[in-house]
Amino acid sequence: MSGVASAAGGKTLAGYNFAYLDEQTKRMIRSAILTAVAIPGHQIPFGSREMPLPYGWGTGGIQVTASIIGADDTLKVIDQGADDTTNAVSIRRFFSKTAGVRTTESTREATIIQTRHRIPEAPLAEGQILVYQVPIPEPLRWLEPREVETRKMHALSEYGPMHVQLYEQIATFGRIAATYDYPVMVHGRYLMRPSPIPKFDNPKMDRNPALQLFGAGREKRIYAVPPYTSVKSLDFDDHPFSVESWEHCCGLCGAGASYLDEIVIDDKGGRMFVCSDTDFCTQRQAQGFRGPLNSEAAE
Amino acid sequence: MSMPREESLLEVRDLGKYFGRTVGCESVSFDLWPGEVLGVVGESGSGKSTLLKCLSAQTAPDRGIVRYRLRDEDLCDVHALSEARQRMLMRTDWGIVHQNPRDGLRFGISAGANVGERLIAVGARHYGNIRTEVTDWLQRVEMEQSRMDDLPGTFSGGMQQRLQIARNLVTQPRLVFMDEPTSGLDVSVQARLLDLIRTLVGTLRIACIVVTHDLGVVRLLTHRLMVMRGGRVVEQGLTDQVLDDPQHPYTQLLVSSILPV
Amino acid sequence: MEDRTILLQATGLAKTFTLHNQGGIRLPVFDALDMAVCAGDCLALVGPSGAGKSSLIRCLYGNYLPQRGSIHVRHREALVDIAAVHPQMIVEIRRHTIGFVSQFLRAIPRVPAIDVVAEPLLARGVDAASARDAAAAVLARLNIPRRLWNLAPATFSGGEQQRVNIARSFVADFPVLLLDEPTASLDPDNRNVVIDMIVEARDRGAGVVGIFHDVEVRRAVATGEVRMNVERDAA
Repeated sequence: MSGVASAAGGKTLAGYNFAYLDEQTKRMIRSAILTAVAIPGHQIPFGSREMPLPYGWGTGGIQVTASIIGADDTLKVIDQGADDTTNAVSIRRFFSKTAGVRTTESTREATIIQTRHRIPEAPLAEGQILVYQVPIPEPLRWLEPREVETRKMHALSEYGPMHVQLYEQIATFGRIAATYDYPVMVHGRYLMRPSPIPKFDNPKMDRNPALQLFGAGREKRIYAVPPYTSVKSLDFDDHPFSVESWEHCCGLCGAGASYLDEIVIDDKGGRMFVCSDTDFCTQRQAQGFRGPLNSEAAE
Repeated sequence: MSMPREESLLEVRDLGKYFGRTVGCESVSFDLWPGEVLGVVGESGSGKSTLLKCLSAQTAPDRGIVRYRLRDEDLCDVHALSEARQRMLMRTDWGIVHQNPRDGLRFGISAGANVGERLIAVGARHYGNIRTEVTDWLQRVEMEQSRMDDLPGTFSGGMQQRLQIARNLVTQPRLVFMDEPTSGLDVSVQARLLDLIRTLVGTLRIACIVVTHDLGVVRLLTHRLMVMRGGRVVEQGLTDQVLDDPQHPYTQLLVSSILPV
Repeated sequence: MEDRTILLQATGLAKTFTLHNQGGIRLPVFDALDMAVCAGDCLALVGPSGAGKSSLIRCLYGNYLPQRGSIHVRHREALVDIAAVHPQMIVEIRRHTIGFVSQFLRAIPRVPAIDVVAEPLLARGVDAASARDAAAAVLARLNIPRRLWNLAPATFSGGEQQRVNIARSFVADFPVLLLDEPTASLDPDNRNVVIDMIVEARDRGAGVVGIFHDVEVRRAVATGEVRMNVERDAA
């Protein structure tokens, strides 16, 4: 086992309810989640609460997680694929303190994975729940500022404007230039913003065995993609959807098909590409895989 | 009265719209045939814009009925259609050219995208084909291809109106509503736009309802004319007959009030 | 054998103008007027100024609304009453059956002369190239210099404008032609061209009604006359 798991003591911070939110609020949010699961991709309004961290730091995702988490769950939190960034660490500590749950860095071990900007490389399984932190849930917002009008557009499946955005990109750059938060159609019905994940991750959403929940705290919306639901990225017949690829492989683990971050390593222009998913990379290295910049570690 | 042999495209019966006690429009009835251009004139407050809104399903009338012949030949009550079908109609079979281009164009996207949006809305998903058709339409409204990817805000008023026309006509509508399409433009630009509208409408056999206060516009553009006052139609008939031999006192006043050039 | 098909027939026609904004004055123009035009006829309307010749022509074209009577025109083999028909039908009749040369040309500003002339053919669905060819032929016959064809007629001289106006109505062989002083501002050469064109129209079986102030023209083209007098003021 490579994940750093904390002891599941079940001890919670005195003076707080289990997982911070009061039970009434959790019921309200769970009710919104159930509706969201019933209508894949459709945004459900909910009464977003004040959380002990600012909007933009994952308040939507945290409220969803707080509402579904139980004492026997194992939580993983990632930010840009990494388990060890400030945001991920503090949210993990938040739940280990307020809910006393076990936490992990292992994708496979986790029952709930809260994420910002990535979907783990390791395939998810039935029974797992992926909770996305969403800054702006409305995919049509850039074109249509009126909420009343965007709701009507969703109701009537008037999604032409979204393709217009792609048209503009092809006209300007010669190709679809969107690389993250790339719009998708869920279950052939609702247009959805997948949150700012790289489009590299879009295919992973399609027919995924895990339940995917999306929480937007400031915008007070929850939406969901139930297990095994079709999720298709928008495109044109002559400009089909495609994901990024790299000339390099991961400098540490040698993976050739994972999402890579570029890291500047000195002030002479030196750089390396490494997996953005730290758990994935660590697991591979533990299995003996080595990248070109990791040869000394191989000895 | 001997009627044209073709089936009418639009049938309006006893249409009325009230704002409290104020009459918006009242007792309006007429038929419109494919390819026919109908002018509606009257001064501000005569109810012509209210009528246009009721006809184009932008406002629900308080009484009367507007029936439109769909492509499958059935006459349908426009206001009884679901909102989804009304909006579909507006994107495909109908066009609306607004007085103010800001109401009819999206200023946040390029000229080409403004035209392409209507094609995409009806299911076009091939970028190259969309691009070709948009180029063709921009040429038809005499716009330079080099301006295709510019924002409409960088265009002159006349160009914006021509862009609006291209955006509306690209889906080959059968009925286009125009609300003061040339007001607010320079006289020289007006003439060019009028000629363009007339040619396109004529060659494509598009039926049009043009609301304006400009009698010059109706003379050049329309076949038939309705004169409105106080929400009611006081006179209607062949455009040149109504203008050259007006029968109603109000029409006579209107016609005699044109300033000589 | 002579073809005596009636193309245009007015029966019991009456026209009165009522000026509502000038004390409701009624100006009677003509009353109980009967006339008929057969294929090959050219009727000249004669009478003093103010006798209502132009008003009659305009009634026949559907441009003025008669107060009483009927105006039957043979349109697509059937007689249709212009005075009672739906406006949409008049548009259709004007497209196919009745051509009208008014005293003044009225065209969209900035449209080239050749397109102004080709328009009646385009309205009938003739393709653009053939319509332009036909328009060019008529313009050439009426001696409009080629360099003017692609210019808008607004800048032309009175005579040139009138010839564009004539070309417009002769480009599409209308079965019925209404001519309101077609030769008024023309020089002798062009006047003769127009006379030839009217005679040709007659010969091909068109029915013509015209106002010709020029006696020579009238002698050359008219096969009959309709005499009109100034109506006395209504009691």
